[in-house]
Amino acid sequence: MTAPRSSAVRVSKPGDRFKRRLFSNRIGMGAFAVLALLGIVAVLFYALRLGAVSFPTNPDATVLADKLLAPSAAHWLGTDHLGRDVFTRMLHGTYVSLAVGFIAVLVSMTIGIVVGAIAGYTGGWADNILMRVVDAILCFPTFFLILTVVAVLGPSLINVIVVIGLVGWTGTARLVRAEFLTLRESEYVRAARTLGQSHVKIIFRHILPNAMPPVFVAAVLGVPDAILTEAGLSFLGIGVQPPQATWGNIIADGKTYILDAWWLILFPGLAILVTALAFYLAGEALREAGQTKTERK
Amino acid sequence: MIAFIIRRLLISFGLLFVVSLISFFIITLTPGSPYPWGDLNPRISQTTKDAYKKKFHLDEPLHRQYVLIMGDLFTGKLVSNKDERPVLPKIAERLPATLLLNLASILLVYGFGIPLGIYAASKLGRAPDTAITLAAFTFIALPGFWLAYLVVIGLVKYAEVPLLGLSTFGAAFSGPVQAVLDRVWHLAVPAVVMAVGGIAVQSRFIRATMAESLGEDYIRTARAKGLPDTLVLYKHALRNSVRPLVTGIGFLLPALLGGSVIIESIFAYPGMGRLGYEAVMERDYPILVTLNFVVAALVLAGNLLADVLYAAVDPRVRLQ
Amino acid sequence: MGILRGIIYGLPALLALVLAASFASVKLTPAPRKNELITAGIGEAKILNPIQSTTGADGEIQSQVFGSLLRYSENLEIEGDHAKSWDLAQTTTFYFFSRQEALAAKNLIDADAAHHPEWKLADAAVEEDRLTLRFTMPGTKAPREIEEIFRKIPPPPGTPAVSGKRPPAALQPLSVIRVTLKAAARDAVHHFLKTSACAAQVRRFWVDSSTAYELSVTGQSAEILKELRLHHEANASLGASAEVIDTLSRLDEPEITFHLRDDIRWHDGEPFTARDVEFTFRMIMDETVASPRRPDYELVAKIETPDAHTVRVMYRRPYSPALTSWMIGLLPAHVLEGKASAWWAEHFNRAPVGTGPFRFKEWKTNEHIALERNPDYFAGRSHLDTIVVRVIPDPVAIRLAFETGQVDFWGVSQHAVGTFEKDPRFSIFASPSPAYEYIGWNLRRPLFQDVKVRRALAHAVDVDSIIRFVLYGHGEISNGIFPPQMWFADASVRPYEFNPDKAKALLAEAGWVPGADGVLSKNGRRFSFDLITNMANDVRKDIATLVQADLKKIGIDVRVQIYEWTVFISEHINTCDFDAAALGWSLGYDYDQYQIWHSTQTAPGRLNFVGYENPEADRLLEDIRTCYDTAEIAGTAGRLQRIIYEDQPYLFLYVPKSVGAMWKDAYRVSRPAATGDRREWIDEPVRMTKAGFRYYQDWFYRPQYPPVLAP
Repeated sequence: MTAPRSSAVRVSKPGDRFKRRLFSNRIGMGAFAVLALLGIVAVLFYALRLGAVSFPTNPDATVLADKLLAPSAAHWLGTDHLGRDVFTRMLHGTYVSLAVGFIAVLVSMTIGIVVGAIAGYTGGWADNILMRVVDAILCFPTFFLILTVVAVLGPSLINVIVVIGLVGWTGTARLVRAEFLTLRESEYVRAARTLGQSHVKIIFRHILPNAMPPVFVAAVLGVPDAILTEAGLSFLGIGVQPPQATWGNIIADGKTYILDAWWLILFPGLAILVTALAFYLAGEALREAGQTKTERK
Repeated sequence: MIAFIIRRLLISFGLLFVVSLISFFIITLTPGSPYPWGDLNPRISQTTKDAYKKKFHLDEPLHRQYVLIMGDLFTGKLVSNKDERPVLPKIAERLPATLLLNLASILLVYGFGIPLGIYAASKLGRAPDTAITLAAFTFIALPGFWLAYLVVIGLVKYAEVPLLGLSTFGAAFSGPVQAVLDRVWHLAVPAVVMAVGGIAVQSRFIRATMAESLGEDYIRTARAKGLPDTLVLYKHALRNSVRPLVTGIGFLLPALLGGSVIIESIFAYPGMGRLGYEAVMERDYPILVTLNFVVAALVLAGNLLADVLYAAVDPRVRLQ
Repeated sequence: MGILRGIIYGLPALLALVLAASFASVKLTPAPRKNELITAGIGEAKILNPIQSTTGADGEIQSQVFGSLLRYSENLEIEGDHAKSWDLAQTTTFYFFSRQEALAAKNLIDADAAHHPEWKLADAAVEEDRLTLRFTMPGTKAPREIEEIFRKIPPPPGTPAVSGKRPPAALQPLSVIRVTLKAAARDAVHHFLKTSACAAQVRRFWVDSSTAYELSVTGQSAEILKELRLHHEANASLGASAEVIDTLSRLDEPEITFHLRDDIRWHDGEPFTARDVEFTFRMIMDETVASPRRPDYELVAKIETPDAHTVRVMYRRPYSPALTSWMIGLLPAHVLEGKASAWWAEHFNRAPVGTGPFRFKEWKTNEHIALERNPDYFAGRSHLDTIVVRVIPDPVAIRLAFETGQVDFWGVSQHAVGTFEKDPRFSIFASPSPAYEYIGWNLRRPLFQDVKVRRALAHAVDVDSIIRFVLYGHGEISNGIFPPQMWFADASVRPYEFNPDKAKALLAEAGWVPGADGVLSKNGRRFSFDLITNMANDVRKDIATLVQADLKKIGIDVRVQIYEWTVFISEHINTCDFDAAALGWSLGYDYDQYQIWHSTQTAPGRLNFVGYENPEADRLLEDIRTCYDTAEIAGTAGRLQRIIYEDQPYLFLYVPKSVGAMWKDAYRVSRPAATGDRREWIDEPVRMTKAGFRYYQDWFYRPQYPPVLAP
C-alpha cells in the first residue's frame, strides 16, 4: 500500500495535488479556520499571562458578590461559584488546554518516533525487545499509571502533560515501526545503502520524511485525545489544579453546581467538543488529501 | 502454528511476570498507607499497627512481599487489606453487572456502527456520507462525562425517568415483564453512553475499509460488468472489512472486563471500574495487584487471539 | 446476502425497539413505592462490625442493627438503651507506712465526712496498711481534698528515707513501672509475681498488650526495679526492659455498674446477657482484632458480670468520657466466640447479627445494603418493612435520585439550600454540625512563632465573607475549639473581627514591614508561605483561594498547594512538614481534646501536628478528663477554649451547618413515649432535634402505610 508512494513522490508533483485536494475540502478548511482562531486566542492570552499585553479582566479575580450569575451582557457566559467570569477563564484556559494537547503529543510523538525508528530500522532482537516493551506498557491500565504518577509528583500542569504524553506513545511507535519496516526494503533506501551512506543519514534523509505523513496525521488526531484525557482527569479531581484554568477544570469545578448553574459546564464542554472536532476533521482532511488510492474513482 | 502459539505463550508469561513486578512496585511505592483505619488515626496503637503489618506481610522487604502476595494470589488466599475478604470473590461479584454492561455496549457498537459505516460507504462523498462523518467525529469528540451528565440530567430531571443503579429503587413492580423492562432500561442508558464513541469509531472504520476496496480494480470491473450495486457493496466491498473485524474480537477480551469509573459513578452502576478506582484511592494493594494481573493477562491473551484469528481468516498470513 | 442484510439492519432495529419499549415501560407505568425507607451516600460501608469499623457509612447501618448499653437522647443527654440504669462509684485507696497511721487517717476522715456532704463519701475501711474510701461520685476533687488532710499525719519514727529525704507524711506514694518485652506479657507478669521477693510491694498490675505490662508499687521502687532487672537477665529471651513512668499519691479507681434489660433477644432468637457485653469488651482489647476503639477502653482495669443482667466495669483512673464509650454496638458472644478473624470478615462483618430495631437482610456490593424490621425489638416493632442504604458515588446523581423520589433524604449542598428552601415539595432541616474548619499554622516554623503574627492573620481573613459566599450563609463563625452548640462551649469567647488595618498594625509591631515588591519582610525574610489542603474538597479549595486573596491585600504571599488526601496526610500532616494547612475537625459530642492540643501529642503522626504547647492548657486538658461534674466540666472547657483561642494556633474559620432535605410529609413519627414501654405512643411530624431530624428514624412511617400498633 505504501510501496507506490516513493515513485508517486517523484512523478506527479504531489505537493500541488495535496494542496488542491486540501483546499477543496470545505469541512476541512472550516476546521482549520476554527483551529487558527483558537491559536490566535491562545497566543494572545499566553502573552497576557506573561504580561506582554495588558487586559482589563483577570481570570482569577474573585468577586464573591457576583457568584453563580447566569449569562448576561456583563458576563457573557455567566460567573462561577467564586464570582469569576467564565468567558474570561475560558479564554485564558485556551492556551493551557491547547498546550496540554500539543506538548503531550510532542512528548509521545518524540518517544514513539525514536522507539519505532530504532525497532523498524534495526529489526532483529532490538525490534523484538522494544516491541515487548510496548506490549508491556499496553498491559498497564493507563488510568492507574496516570493516577500513580500524579499522586507521587503532584498534579502540576507539567506533570499532567508529561504523564499523558508518557502513556500515549505506543501507537506512534508501532506506526513508525511499520513504515520503517516497509521503507527499509524500498529500492531507493537499498540504493542509498549500497552507496555507503551512514545509517543516521539514511534514517533522517531517506526514511523518516517518507514515514512522516501518517505520523503527522496521527499527531493531529492525538491532540484532542490528550485534551479529552486532561478533562477526564480534571473531572476526577486529579487534573491541572486551580487557580490555573483549563476547560477541564472549569467543568470539574462546576459539576457540583450543574443543576443550578448549567452554564458552568455547558460552555467549556462545548469548547472542548468544538476544538476536538476541529482537530479530528482537520486530521481527516489531511489524511484524505494525502491519500493516493481511494480517491482514484 | 502450534509452535508459534507456544512461543508466544512463553513470551507472554515472561511479560506477565515483568508487568506484575513493575506494577507491584508502582503500587506499593505510591504514597499513602493501606491501613483500613485511614492515615490520620492515632487512636490505633503501635501494637495494633504492628500486628496488622505482620498479618499482611507489610513488615517484610518489598521483594519478599511480592513473592508472598503472588503466592497468595495463585493459591487463592489473598485477602483485601480493607475488609479481609478474599480478593477473588470480591472481584467476581462485580463480574455479572460488568459483563452485562460491556456486552450490551459492544452489541450497540457493532449493531449500529456497521450499518452506519456501510450506509456511509454506499453514499461515498455525498451528503449522507458527510453527515455521518460529521456526526461520527462529533461523538468521538464528546467528553464522556459531559455527555453522561447531559443524558442523566435530561432524562431524570426533565423526562422524569429513573435510571440510576441497576433497577428502579423501592418500586413495587406489577409483574416480571415490568421488572425486566426496568432492568433493561437501567442497563441500556449507560450502555448507550459508553457505546456512542465506539459506534462512531466503528462506522468510520467500516467506511474506510469499504471505501478502500470500492476503489480497487476488481470492484470497478464488477460494476462495469453490470452487477447490481447492493451486490457489489455487500458481497465484495464488505468482505474487505470482515478480516479486521474478526481480528478485533481478540482486542475485545480485555474490554469485556474493563469499566469506566466516570460512567459507573454517574450512573451509580456497580462495575469493575469503581472497584479499581476505590482500591487505588484506598491503597488496597491485594485488589490492585490482582486487577492489574488479570487485565495484563487478558491484554496478552487478546493479542495472541487477534494474531491467531488474523492467520485463520487470511490464508496469506503465516505465523512463524 | 439477504440474511446478511437482515442481520445488519435487523439487529439495530431490534436494539432500538428494546430501548424504546423499556423507556415506555419505565416512563408510562411508574411502580408505586414500597413500605421502605431509602437513603443514599457516596461511600459504601465496609465492615458492619461496630468494634472494627471506621467509616460513617458503617455507622449508619450499625446504629440500626446493633444495640448498645447507652445512647444519646434527642437532646444529646446520655440515656439508657440496653442498660435500664447505671450507677457510678469510686474506690480510692491510700497506702500508709503501717496499719496504725491508716487507722488514724480513718478517724480523721470519719470526723470530717459529716461536714463535707459534697464528697459523697459512702464508706471508709482499713485493711492492713491501706485505707479504702468509697465515693458515690467518681472524680479527683474529693480524694485530693482528703489527701491534703492526710498529709498532716506525720510519718512513723524510723521511716526509711526515700532518695535521701525523709517522707513528709505517713502516706506511701506509688510508682508505676512499665515493663516492655518481646511477647507473652501475661505469662511474664504472673511468673515474676510468683518468684519475686518484693511481690507484696506490688499493689496492682495491668497487662497492656502482649508486649507490655504495668505494676503499681509502694515503697522503694529502686528495689523492685533491681529485682526486675535480675529477673530479666535470668530470662534473657524475654528481651524486657522496665522503667518508672509515673508516681501517684493514691489510687483513684472509678467503676460503673450497668443493670441490663432482661427482655432483649438477638436477631437469631438467643437472649442478650451480660456475657455479650463482657465478650464485646474482650474482643476490643484483643490485639488480633485490631479495633480502632481500643484506646477508649485502655483505662479499664477489669470487667465483672456478677449475674446475667449486671455488668461492672472498673477503671484504673478517673476518665469521665469513658461513659460514652459504652454507646458502642454490642456483639453476640454466642455467634462469635472462638471464631478466627477470617471467619468474622467473611461471615459476620458482612451479615451481622445484632439486637437493634432492624436486622440485616442483604448486601449487594456497590449497590445497596438492605435491613428488615426486627419483629422482636424490645421497644416495639418498627413500622417500616425495610431500610435500604444505597451507594451513589456521584453527589449530583444523589440529588437527582432525591428529586425524583428514589431517595428519601438529601444532605443539601450549600449552594442549593436557597433553592430548596423555596421549593414547596421539600421540608428542610438545618443544624450546626459538631465540626469546624480551620487553618493550622505550623508552630515549629519561625514565621508563625509570634502570637502577634497569628492574631494579625486572624484579623486579616474575612471569615464572614467565606461563610456568606462559600457556604451561602450556612455556617457560624468559629470561636475556638468547641462548636457553639455543645453544652460545654463558652459563648462569651469573641471571635477576632475582620480588620486588615489592625492586622497590619500588629504585623508592624512584630517587625514586619512592606518590602520593595509590596510583600512584608523582616530581617530580609519575605512573608511568604505554602498553604496546603486536600483534593476532592471544593469548599477547602475555595477557602484556600479566598485566604490567599485576603492575605495578599496585607502584603503576605501565599502559595496554594493541593494534594491527594493520602499524600496530604502521610507526606505533610503526619510528618509535620507544612507551613499552613486548611483542614477541619469532625468532633462528635466529646469535650476531651487531649489528643489534639496536649503538648505530649506533637510527635509525627499525632493529632497535635501544629505543635501547640501551653502548660496552662495542658493542665486544663488533664483536669477535664477527670471531671464528672457537668458544671465543673463546662467551667474548665470554657477556660481551655479561651486560652487556646487567644493563642491562635489555628485560624478558626467556621462551624458548618448541615442541611437535610426530605420530601414534604414523606414520613411521620410514631414512637413509644418511653423506651421499652409500649402502652403510650406519640404521633408527630418529623422535626428537628439536637441530634438531627433523623433521630427517630426507627419510628418513621410512610403515611400511605399507617402504623399498626402491636401491644
